[in-house]
Amino acid sequence: MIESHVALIVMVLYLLLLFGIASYADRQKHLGRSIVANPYVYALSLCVYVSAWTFYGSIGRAASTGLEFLPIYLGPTLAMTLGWIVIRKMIRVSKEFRLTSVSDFISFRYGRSYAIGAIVAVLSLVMVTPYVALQLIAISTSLEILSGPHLFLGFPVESKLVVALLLGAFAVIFGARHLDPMERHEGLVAVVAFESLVKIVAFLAAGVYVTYGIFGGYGNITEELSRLATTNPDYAEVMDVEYVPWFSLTLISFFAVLFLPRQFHVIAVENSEENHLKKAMWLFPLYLLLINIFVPAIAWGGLLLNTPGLKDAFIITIPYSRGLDWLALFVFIGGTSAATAMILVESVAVGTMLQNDLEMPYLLSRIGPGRNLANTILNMRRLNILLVVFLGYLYSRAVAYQILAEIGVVSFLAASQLAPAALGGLYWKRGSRKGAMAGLISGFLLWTYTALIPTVAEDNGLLGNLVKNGPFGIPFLKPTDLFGLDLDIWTNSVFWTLLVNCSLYVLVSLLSKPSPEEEAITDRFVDVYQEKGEPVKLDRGAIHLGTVEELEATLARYIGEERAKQQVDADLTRLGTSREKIEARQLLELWSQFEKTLTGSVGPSATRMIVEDQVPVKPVMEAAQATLPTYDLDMGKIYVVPEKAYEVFTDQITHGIEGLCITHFASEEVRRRWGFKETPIIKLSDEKGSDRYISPRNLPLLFMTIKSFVESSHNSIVLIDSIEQLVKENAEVLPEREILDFVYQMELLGRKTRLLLAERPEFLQVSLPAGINEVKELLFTLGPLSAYLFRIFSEAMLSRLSEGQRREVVEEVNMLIAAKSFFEADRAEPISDNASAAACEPDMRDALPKQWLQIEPGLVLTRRAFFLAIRRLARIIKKHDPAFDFTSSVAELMKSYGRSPYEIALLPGTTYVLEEEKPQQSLELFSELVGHGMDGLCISRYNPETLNERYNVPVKTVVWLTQKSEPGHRTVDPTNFPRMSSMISDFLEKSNYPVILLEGLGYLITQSNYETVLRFIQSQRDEIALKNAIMLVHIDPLSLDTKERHRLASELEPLEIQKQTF
Amino acid sequence: MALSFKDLLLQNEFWAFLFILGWVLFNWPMLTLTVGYSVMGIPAILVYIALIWLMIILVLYLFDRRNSG
Repeated sequence: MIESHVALIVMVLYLLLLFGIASYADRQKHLGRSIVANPYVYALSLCVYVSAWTFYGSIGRAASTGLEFLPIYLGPTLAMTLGWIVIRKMIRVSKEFRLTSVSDFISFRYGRSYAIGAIVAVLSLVMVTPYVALQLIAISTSLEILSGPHLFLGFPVESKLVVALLLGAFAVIFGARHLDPMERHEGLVAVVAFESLVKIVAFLAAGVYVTYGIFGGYGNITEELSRLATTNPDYAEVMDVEYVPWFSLTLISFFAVLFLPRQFHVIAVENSEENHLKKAMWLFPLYLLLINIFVPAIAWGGLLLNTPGLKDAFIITIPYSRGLDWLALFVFIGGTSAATAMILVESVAVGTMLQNDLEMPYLLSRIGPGRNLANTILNMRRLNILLVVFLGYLYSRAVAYQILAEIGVVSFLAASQLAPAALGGLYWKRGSRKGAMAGLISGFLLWTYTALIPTVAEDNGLLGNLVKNGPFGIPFLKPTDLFGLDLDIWTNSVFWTLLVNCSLYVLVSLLSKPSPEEEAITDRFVDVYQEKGEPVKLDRGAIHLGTVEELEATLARYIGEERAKQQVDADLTRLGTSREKIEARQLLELWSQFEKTLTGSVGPSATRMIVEDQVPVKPVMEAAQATLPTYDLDMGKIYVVPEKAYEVFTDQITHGIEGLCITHFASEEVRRRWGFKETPIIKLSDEKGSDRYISPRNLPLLFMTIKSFVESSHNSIVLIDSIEQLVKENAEVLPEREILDFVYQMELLGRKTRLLLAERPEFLQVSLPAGINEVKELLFTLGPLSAYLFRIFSEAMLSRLSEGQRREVVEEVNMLIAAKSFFEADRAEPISDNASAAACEPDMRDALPKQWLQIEPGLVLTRRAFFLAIRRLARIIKKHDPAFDFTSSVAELMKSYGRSPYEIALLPGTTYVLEEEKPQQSLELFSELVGHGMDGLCISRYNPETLNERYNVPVKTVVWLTQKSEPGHRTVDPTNFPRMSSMISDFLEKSNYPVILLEGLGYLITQSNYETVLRFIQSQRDEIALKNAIMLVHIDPLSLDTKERHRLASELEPLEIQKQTF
Repeated sequence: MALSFKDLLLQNEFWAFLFILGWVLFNWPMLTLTVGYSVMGIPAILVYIALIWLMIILVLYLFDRRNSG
């Protein structure tokens, strides 16, 4: 027999050992020698899934209900098969946006919704409280089996209380030692991994002892049991499988392994490297297999041996009753490991949730900004951890163990309610905040009704009556048999909760429109693997502060001064800059990191409040006029209005549109003249002392102010008066790239608002036929920007050369420029000012004339002329340096300014042929070019809707080759070649930068004949050459014979798509 | 064109297929095939589930092995 107190002392010593391991891991981390950042520790940390419910509960279930315990481990095994698709994406998203709990994960996806975060946090607390209680009871029960009730100073000491206090203190020390924006706890992970090893070794030791030490192997046990079953049918049931609950339990355990708070925490938050997942994907299922392999043997062995006491405790009582005290003690430590690991991680995970999604938003709304909250946040987190453990303790006192044995399934069911919103949010862009709310609330309520109440209801109480007879005695509303489907209790709950949850999520999402902020987040969330095309990716909200110090001070209020300094320094190092040398572009990146750091520390909802508090201009509505607006401007378009920009702007804002006016005039003067009162006006001026002034040189601030305004409004208009003046004022001050970035970012922003530019006609490179003119491609439309762009591209190309090669290339190009034979003369007359010439460090150029291209002042290039020029430059460079790689030299710039990588490969005036069986690549290429601003016409055999759905080809660009007339679509009869020709001519006439795709050649030939089609292509080819357009012709090589293919190919240029070069 | 095994493991569709296959093999009606049988005295259902489990682990292991480093 084990002496009284020995088990408790061993447990305390074991906890001290864990303490030592955690301290060691933390110390090693500070020394930069992490013992946790490896795939094996990561895989072992995932095994926190194996709690006391597994260690003891599986055996109890196997001894009572047969193999029903197995689905709890089959679900996670199946989940790992989707690890590289689903779990990796969860990890990527969590890291990208610094999401530190499953509630952060879901609330962030749905527009940083406070309500959703709070619902998930409350649901999590409700689901883990009984689960934590189960762990406490499991430890205390096994403790009492080994050494009886304890006395301390003559008083009976409740072992549950001792365990709760010890674990609470442990979790506080290692789970909330300091505020870490990444919420990674190396000490905690080291402990969990170590405990995973201990519990599996203990379990296997007990399994081997029972199977081979007591019995003659697995076969012997099952044969004995089968023999027993012939006399007692109860024993036959323990080898049976009920298929319906089997399926239900597999399903909910599949969801639980992803969305139980502790699982999400170890999978996503504590992951140090995405690649570690690969090993965890097979090690974790292997661990589950090993820990389950002896469960039936121990359970059935316990039955055969008539072991007294709880069936759940067979794993301890079998060796203990046979005098193997050391094994019983070791198994007790294994069980303690399972329980403590669960409590530690769960309390930290739920504690973080409570703080981020319930308390912080409330706190911020009460106390307002500006207060130093770092210590408050840390203490709050500690209290939350203690709260989770304490509630578990209270619950363990109130409920019997037998009831708690079912609680694991109830918790799994609760975790499953998060799956529709979380998985839907990860892949389905239409999933909306309202849909997620509807799904979560309905799932939560139904879970309470069908799973929680039946589990905790006492036989004769009010709830007991409800469960037995249904509400008001209506039997088909009985919680455990809803609508009389005659399912088992778990399947009944799984079926109804998930059916209603998923249905409402989908239906309400389809019926509701997401806010602009939600849409912006959705795109980044769902497309998290996509490379960032834009140079600046910023979250919603503007920061009206302008320096690194101000940023650091704001951050310090929430994570403490020291941590804020470390974080800012780390970000600066990553950006390759310093406090003194930081450029505007890098400052923008730093601000985007600021939001992520805050999200990691205080959660997405609180971050939203902090950032919103700093938005300088909020959308407001003017008093609306009873008349209809005079002008009709479309959302998502950019307009140049030379004469009456303010008049148009005023007309819009007095008819229900929220406006922002950026002007060089005094705001009082603008208000007086145009009569609007509420609409915010920002003056571009170096004056200080108000948010209503922004220096024209602070383009990042200006952009972010406009961006925050646009993203705060559903229906907005922005007037800028004027970009010409901004360009002039910055010509000698800012790098050209900064000006280009600003204009390009404004163009992107223009897709979410109505952007009104008050510009002189002389500043534009296109003619302005009307008072209000829609414009595209601002970089090729406004003033000297195209020349700026050429200089940046050419410099990127020249920078790849040695000094000598560069000199030779520059000399040759300068000679061609001087001879007026380098640039295509698209526009003879230069623009009126000399801004472009002045903007390029003239002193330096004079000093090194042979190192710089002598670009004439006032050079302007159309998009076509621009690409011709850089292609020409590339050819010259290639002559001097055959190893020069044109595409890679400009790849980064092409991405930065939203150019398609194909644009430099496609020569205007050329008709290309793409040979492929199905026109997949042809359509993708067309879609990409149109998506990057080219005007497109697609003549296709496919239905326009199909093309749009499959290849994202805009419906309005498609002419459908069909003999039927289809309302709402442009169609053309495949035999009507004159009509096709005229459609192409009209399109070329109207387009600025056209691309045409002709697809469905086989159909055209079938409907007429080969010669007619060839003649048609020949004539179009000439038209394309004359109009400097690009035409793509798809042919299926199998549909033509060799001669026909050869004749066709001789007319056209072959095109091989090599996107991978970018 | 034939794909190598490594290429196969890199395709999302393969994992979706394995997931569905796993579901099917771990559930009704496949489990009914084992009812009433035993392998060396052990109920066939346990042996069957362990084999499918090991097969999944093997595929996941191969994915790790062929794509690590």
